[in-house]
Amino acid sequence: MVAATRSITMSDLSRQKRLRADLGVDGLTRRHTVGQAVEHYLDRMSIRNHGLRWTAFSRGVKLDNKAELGDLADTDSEWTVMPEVSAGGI
Amino acid sequence: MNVEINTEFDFLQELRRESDLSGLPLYSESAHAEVAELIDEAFVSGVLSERLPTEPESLKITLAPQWLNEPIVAGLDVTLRAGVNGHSHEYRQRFITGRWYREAQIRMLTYRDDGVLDDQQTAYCMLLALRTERPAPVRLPPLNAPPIVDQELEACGVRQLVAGPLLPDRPVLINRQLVDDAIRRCMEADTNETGGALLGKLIRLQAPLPGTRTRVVNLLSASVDDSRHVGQALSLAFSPEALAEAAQIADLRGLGETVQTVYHTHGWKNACGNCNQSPDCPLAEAVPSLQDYQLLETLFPSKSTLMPIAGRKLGEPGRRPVLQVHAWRGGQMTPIPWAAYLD
Repeated sequence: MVAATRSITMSDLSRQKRLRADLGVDGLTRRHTVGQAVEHYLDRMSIRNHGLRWTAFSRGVKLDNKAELGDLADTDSEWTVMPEVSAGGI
Repeated sequence: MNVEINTEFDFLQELRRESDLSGLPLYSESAHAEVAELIDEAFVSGVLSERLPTEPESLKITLAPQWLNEPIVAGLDVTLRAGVNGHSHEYRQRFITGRWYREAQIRMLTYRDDGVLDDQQTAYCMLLALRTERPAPVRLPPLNAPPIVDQELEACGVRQLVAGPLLPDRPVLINRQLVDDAIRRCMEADTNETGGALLGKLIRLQAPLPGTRTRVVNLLSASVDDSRHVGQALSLAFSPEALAEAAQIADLRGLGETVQTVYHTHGWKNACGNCNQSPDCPLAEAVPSLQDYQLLETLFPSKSTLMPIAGRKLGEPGRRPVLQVHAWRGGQMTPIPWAAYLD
């Protein structure tokens, strides 16, 4: 049996914009989805969405945006949040 | 941290057909989020230059516009007074630009496409500060100092510094192998763009390097290329999966590194080779584009982030691309000097 996560820590790729959320305390509950948690992170950290598709990764694996936080294993509590984004000379 | 903002202004961003306030603006919107970004940048700059403590107990922020002609702002002075252990530290930075200017550039492209502005018509981007007794609150992001590790260069594998100027308040050291690889890949990709993740960290030395005033040094130590990043002319799509794997590689190296940023190239025409000499070269120079700013604001939102770009630089001698490194300086990414090192 895998223990369910009680808190999540979300950060950007460089791990400089970190946000820890205790489920049921900091605006997120076990019933919220991964996608909603990502939106929560972007809002709290004042990061612009830019209409991009955002993804959370845990241990190098992409999390399902529709998965509920209460269904995640305790080992999936450290996320990296990233958009699909392009650089360019335009 | 207890944060207090002293201001008597509401901030607006406008785009106008005239250089004064006559007529109606093309758009007029709140600029408080843009001003909040400047405060964030000033805080991070203060920490990296060691003018501010990393974890202040209190922070008093004062916003003082410098007028072009009130209420049109020529510059915005952001003063941060940080209190810790009964001591006060002050850091001031003047900003003459910010995201409102880039937003205006994007809107102007749309207005020209839609025929609202014709191709030759000038438009004027403005930051306005309107005096008010009850200014709207500026919603700040959490003001956190970036992680900085107490470590010496030798412990990071730095064997020898190669001559190069450093910014006194923002020294950056880059592994020579990484630089050579970025330039080689730029040439191999020709006019297409390419790039990859850059691993590194921020360290605090016991003493500043010669010619610098801060002990905090930004080290870029290795690049992680991945064929899942797909480049073409004028664009490079970064693969989130590949970047997540690069973060795992950083962990596996066990050196306390993270993916600090990404590098990318702006193209090089091998058949011509005169990219640095020709003012008519259609390739973009190695400076951040509006698209690059969007990448920074989303993938690496910290104001300590660097953006290295390989490509042409008009006037640079030789027939090879350069690696130009940009850092947040005064509301925009600005090219900064850096030194290479051998590991």
